[in-house]
Amino acid sequence: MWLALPFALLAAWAVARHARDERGGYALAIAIGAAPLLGLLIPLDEPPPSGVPETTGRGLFIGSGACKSCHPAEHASWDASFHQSMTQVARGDAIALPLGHHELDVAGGRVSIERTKEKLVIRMPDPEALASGEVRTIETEAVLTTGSHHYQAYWVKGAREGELRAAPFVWHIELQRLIPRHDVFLQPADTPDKLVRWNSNCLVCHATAAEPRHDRDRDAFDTRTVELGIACEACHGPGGPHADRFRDPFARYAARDDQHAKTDIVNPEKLSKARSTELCGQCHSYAMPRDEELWWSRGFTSTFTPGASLDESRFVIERGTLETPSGVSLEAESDSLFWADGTIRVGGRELNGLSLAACFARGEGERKIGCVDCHELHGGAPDDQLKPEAKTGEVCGSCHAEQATTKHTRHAEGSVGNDCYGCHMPRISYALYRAQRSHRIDSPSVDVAFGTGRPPACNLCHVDRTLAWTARELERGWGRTTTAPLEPEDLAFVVKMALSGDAASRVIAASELVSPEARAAAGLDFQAPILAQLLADPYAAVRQVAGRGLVASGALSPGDYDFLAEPRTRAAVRDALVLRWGDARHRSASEVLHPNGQLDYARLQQEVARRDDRPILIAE
Amino acid sequence: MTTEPRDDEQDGLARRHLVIGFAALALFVLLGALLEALHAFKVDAYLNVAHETRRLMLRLAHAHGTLIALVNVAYGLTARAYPRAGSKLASSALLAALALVPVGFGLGGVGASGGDPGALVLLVPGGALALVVGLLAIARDLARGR
Repeated sequence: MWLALPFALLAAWAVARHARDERGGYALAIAIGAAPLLGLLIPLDEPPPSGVPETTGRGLFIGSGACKSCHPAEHASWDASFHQSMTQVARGDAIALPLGHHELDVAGGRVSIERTKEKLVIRMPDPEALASGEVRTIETEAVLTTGSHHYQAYWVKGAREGELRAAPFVWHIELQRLIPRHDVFLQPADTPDKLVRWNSNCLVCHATAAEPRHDRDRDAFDTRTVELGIACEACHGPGGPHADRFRDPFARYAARDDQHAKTDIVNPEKLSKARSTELCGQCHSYAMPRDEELWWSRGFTSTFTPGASLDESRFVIERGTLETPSGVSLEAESDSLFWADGTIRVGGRELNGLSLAACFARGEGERKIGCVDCHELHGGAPDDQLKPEAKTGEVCGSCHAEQATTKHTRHAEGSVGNDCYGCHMPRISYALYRAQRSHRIDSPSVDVAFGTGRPPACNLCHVDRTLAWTARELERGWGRTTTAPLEPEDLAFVVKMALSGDAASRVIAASELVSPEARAAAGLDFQAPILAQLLADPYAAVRQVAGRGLVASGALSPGDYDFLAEPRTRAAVRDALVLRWGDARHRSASEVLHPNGQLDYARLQQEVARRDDRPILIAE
Repeated sequence: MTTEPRDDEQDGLARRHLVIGFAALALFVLLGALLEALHAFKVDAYLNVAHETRRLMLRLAHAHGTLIALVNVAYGLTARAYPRAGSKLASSALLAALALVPVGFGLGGVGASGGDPGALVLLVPGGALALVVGLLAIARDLARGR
């Protein structure tokens, strides 16, 4: 404002001098001179919180802002995506938590949060103190947010220079409630909260060209990224040479119709399927860096660029190989992350699944499936980012035309059983409080289910059926024989998963028991007492999914149950529901659980007593 | 109190607006050509998403400068056709508008940071007021048949 004032006064002086004889001349001069004072009325923006990592173009990276002028449509579709808003500075509309005061109990004490129009101020137990057994409260400000789709996590300044730590809660966008961070993941109730650090965990996949830049001597971070969020250069590689080349309008027009023009940029659609899939797999896989020391400094920026093999920069882990040759290992166990046959059961790690699928591993050229066959990053809908032809099964039909008929599917037109994904990509992995579709594309197998516990797709819709039933149907319909020594069973496979499986099996079963597909195939008559057992499950995520399923199926009202309530309260809801159900007569989906239409509670308890209580940790 | 301008003053006033108007028109058309060149060569300082406000301000400077220059030309021709319509108030107001509005937008654009223009954009309100006053003064003078 003060800069504008001398110019305005000069103009005012000129007007006054020139029009001094005219009525209104002086008034106009005064108004012109005083106009810059309007600046006093303009509210000042809240400056960004202190501690935001430096984000700047670096080396060959130039940031997505430079891409828009030539690629406005692609920029707009990216801008509307959840990739774009994966990490944001915690200011204004980037904060999903509603305005006002919020409180929540977490391990170590109470958190109180003040969300104003501009920022998020958090009063919480000091995580550093908690780690050493003390209880101390700190007041701090959220610096970054992660997530804008399912839930949003917040990062605050840590004790070390440049360090960002996870706040002990998340805002669940779908549920519209605060949840302790501990309870948003599938992990045992007694697992102590870890000090989760942004600089050494999340940044590599949730920011573009991120470098932790850890100074080991000072134990400090000078973390840098080209951009917060997953931007153009995460998939297309550094854009500097491309932008430099095509700044020349003649070069642009010359390249317009030349498919083979040198572009200095990676187009995933033009890469081989293996490379383009690995490109997505840089984040959508469980992997560990080959050079741990280098990673702490440069992240993957010096060892991987889109279009290169992932193998040079990291190990994509497999069941049983959770440790690198240098001795670095994951905190989770194989049993948590994989089914016994090596199929990943963590959602969002699609490369681990796809790499075991014959369509990917044994496919060649055009007949090799890759991420880009089904997904488009610049399409319309940000959810799942599926191509229209991927939703219809047209993609599968391009190689498996004979199977894309009801003669093969043996299910009615329009039903889930007639859909390729329903049978060959069942929801057997877990993330975000729901079962997620497996990317290990394969066919239902009773032998696999018998040997590993991984449910065949058939039983995830026909949730009231045993493995023996599935074996008979697979043989009758598709000629697939079973060698497993099946014994007569009295419980449906998914019911057994829900009652006596490990925590990952239970949460997947809870999600699938009342899915729309299960309702269509098996009805809704028998699930309530089974899901009721999960209302008192030791894992919060299992309880949440079971409670949501019971509400969705009408067995519970939304206010009847809180998955974060005291154990006694949760057990009371369970018992009341079982009692209510036992008194009623319902269709007998399982002869033993419902002999003569009555609930066999003793049998149900017998199955629950066999529950697999091995600790499971799926921290997505 | 208003003073009737003499004929030679009137002629000088009309000529001044024609000269300044055409000169400003040339300047702001040149600015438009320069902005187009920045598009052609994809100059990051102009086209990057981070500089959207700067781009808007410079476009506004070009558009307003060109249009207010044309208004000054029109005023010069009007003052020549209707000598009594050329008052000093209208003249100084239109010249102030021609200086303040495009310069405010232009320098506000150069100093833009994030979503906000630089402080010199505060010259624009004064210029806008001057333009309105000038146009009303011309209408008033023409209506009075001065």
